[in-house]
Amino acid sequence: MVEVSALISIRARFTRGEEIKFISHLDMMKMFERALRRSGLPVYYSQGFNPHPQIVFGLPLSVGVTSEAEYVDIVFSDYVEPRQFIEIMNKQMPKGLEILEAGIKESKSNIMASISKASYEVLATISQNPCIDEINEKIEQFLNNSEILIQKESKGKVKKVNIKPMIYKFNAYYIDNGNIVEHNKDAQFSNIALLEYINNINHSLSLQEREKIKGYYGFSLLVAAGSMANLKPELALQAFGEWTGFDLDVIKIHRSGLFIDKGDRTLTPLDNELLAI
Amino acid sequence: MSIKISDKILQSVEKPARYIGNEWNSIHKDPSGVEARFAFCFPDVYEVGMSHLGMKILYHLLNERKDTYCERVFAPWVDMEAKMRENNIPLFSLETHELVKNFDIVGFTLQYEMSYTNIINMLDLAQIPIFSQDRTKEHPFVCAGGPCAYNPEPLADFVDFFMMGEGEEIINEVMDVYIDWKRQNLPREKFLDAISQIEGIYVPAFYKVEYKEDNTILKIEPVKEKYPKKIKKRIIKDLDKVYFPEKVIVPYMGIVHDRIMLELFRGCIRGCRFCQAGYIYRPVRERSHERLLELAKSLENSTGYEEISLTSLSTSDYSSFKELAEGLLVDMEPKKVNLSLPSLRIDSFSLELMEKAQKVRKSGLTFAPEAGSQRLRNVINKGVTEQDLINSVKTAFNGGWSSVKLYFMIGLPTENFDDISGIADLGHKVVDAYMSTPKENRGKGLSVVISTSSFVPKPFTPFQWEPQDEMATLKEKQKFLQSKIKSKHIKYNWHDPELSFLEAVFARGDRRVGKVLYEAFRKGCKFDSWGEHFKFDKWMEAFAECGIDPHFYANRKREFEEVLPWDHIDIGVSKEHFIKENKKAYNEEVTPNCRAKCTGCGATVFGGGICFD
Repeated sequence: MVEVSALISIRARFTRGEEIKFISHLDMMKMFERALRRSGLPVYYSQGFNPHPQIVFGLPLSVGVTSEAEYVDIVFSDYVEPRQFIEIMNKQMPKGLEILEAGIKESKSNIMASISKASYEVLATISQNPCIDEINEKIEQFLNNSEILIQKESKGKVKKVNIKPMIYKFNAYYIDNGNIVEHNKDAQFSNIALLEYINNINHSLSLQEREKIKGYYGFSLLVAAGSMANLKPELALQAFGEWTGFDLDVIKIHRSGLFIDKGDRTLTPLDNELLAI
Repeated sequence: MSIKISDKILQSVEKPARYIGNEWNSIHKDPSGVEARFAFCFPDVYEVGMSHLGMKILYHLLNERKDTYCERVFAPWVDMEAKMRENNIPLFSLETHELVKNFDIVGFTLQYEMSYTNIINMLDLAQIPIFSQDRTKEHPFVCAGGPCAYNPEPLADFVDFFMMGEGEEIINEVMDVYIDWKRQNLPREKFLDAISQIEGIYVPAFYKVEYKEDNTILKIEPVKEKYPKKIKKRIIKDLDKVYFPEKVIVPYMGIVHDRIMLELFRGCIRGCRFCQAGYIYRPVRERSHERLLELAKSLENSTGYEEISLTSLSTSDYSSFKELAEGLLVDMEPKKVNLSLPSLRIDSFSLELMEKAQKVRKSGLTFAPEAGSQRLRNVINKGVTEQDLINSVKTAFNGGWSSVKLYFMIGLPTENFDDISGIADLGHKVVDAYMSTPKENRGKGLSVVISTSSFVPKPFTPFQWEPQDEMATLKEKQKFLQSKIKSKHIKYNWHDPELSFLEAVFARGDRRVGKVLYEAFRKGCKFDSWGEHFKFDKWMEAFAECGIDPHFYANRKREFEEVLPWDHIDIGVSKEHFIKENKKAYNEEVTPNCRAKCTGCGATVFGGGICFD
């Protein structure tokens, strides 16, 4: 029998870049498991007939979405220094996946169960090319509705859901020719992800296609996430597009943060307060 | 020029991970730093192709060379192909997304006949001329190898050269000649001329086929003296010394065989008379268990796979099986790596091993008696008796197993309806064996699955002259068998006779059937081995339009004297041996296995393996 007291848990934040954004959540879990086995780190395997490593991921990411805020909790049978964990694991990670930070988790906090909010940067085009002030004005009016109803399909049934209480922050900025015009201070790092992306698609588009796109719109959203209530950012934007009549085409979604609520405060999963007992 | 597939396209297709590359252990080189680029093409989807051991070996072997960059190419699934054609995106490689038409050599592996239309389709998607004669200096060379290459004739018009036999040595020799040829900037034909002198290389354009009035072959001859009359396959004499990759690509998505494959040996001692693999890979050559344990460790460290499987044609015949299996169990315990065992001959040792290796999964024991009566099993030289089978399943049922799969073939030479009833009888005896097992020992919920495939006569087997049953006969036999199965515990599965019929045509076809492949491709045939894409009526239209009678190839009994389309290929095993074995089959006489007694098949010419152990 393995003594339970010897077990140690590490929580880590990692990226999912362009290179691996088309990997499904399930396949990503398997990939992590294999990377851990290669690393030689003292992974803890469950006892019993079919031993499994104890790995818990935060909120699943849709296929095609990139992220700089993915979280994982991993149980080891021996002490692993977080910095060493980052260094060793990053040698086993494929392109596009990088562990950015890690900490020892002494609390019982379960990453999957405790996520409550997520922030996203969304890149879109709008064929009407409205000016940015007009969009932000419309967003304000949009959020002033008493309810925002969308059709949501679950288990084959379509039902109406009010997403208004699930939207905490929603604003827009304009990206002209690769430069962010209305700077958004909350999401500087993410903006870089979007800018690089624009650069990339500009390369792959034909001249004709490029001419059609006058400029890009960036949207920053903070929405409900997790097992209690979960809003996909593309649904919020779709509702906004329908309400305004804007012909809005979502090009890319990037997750910039995952958050856990503690009392009336919103913390990142690696906040010391959440890791400590 | 490499291309970028837009996110819009990737978002719109099923399993986009098939097309992105960058997997762990995939090879990245600077293409401008190499002299030759090799596109290794598997004519099926990613998850099928990535499961193929030969590709893993040759991919890493070629990439060991500093002067060569080998990349992978798979057939895009139909949804992706539609997007590619719509957006005028030619076929591209996974590693650098380079267009296949810009490679130096494009190599296809031929694993099954029903992938042939995919080869043509891939050439078309790549914008490479489909017919060999239309390629010029701007185009890559198209080559092929693998088990189906032993009868290369149906693909002779499409492929510039074939590599016969095991590729590990010959492919390096070809690359050396290629780089030399490229440096000298010589005409295209000079390269083919040069490699035709390498043992095992077959350049179909250098051979002429003449036919008799009855449509059989008069002769197959080289057009010039200097080309070899017979092309002899290549083998690797010592498997312990030959290159085997210490790392293999770990895909991002589930593939068919998603585990480390440890190749124990090549060849098979058994000599079942229907089995092509049992002859073309002769002589049997084993890897030592010491080398295998070493390989398993390095592969595990480089991949992190959760499972290792043992591969060979008949793993129970591996001479140090016990040492290997026990060694692997010990080595892999700390990392919780599973050992996946193939269908073994069941005895108390293997049962104990299976208990240890597959702790929870007590499902799926597989047996392949192949025929329903002892008489017919003697005809096909399948050295398994009913008693062997019943003893095995009894042992397994007592060990808690409750699910058994039984594989048979119908349409074998000399088969009669008693032999077919025998299949049902065997099934019933397996059910009885379960019922007579004490309740406290056996597992719950008995399931017996009987599967029948239809016999496809293959080149380089004692049955290469035999006719295949007509499709109607096969269907009748399937119906008959179904009517004989009386137990509700038995489920019966069978193969489409239509597919087996086409396999029979292309397995033993000559050069003339190539145009049928082309016509079928033009009619939209591809992914023929995927039930939902198999268009039998289109195939029959293609035969009719080409004026080719498929029954001539599939259902005609050939004479021993007839010149066979593959007579200019030499696998080591002599025609005399096949004739002798064919006659013994009709006398219901068995032939001992290679380990028990040498029967002088001819494979000793290679100077290695079991013939000299």
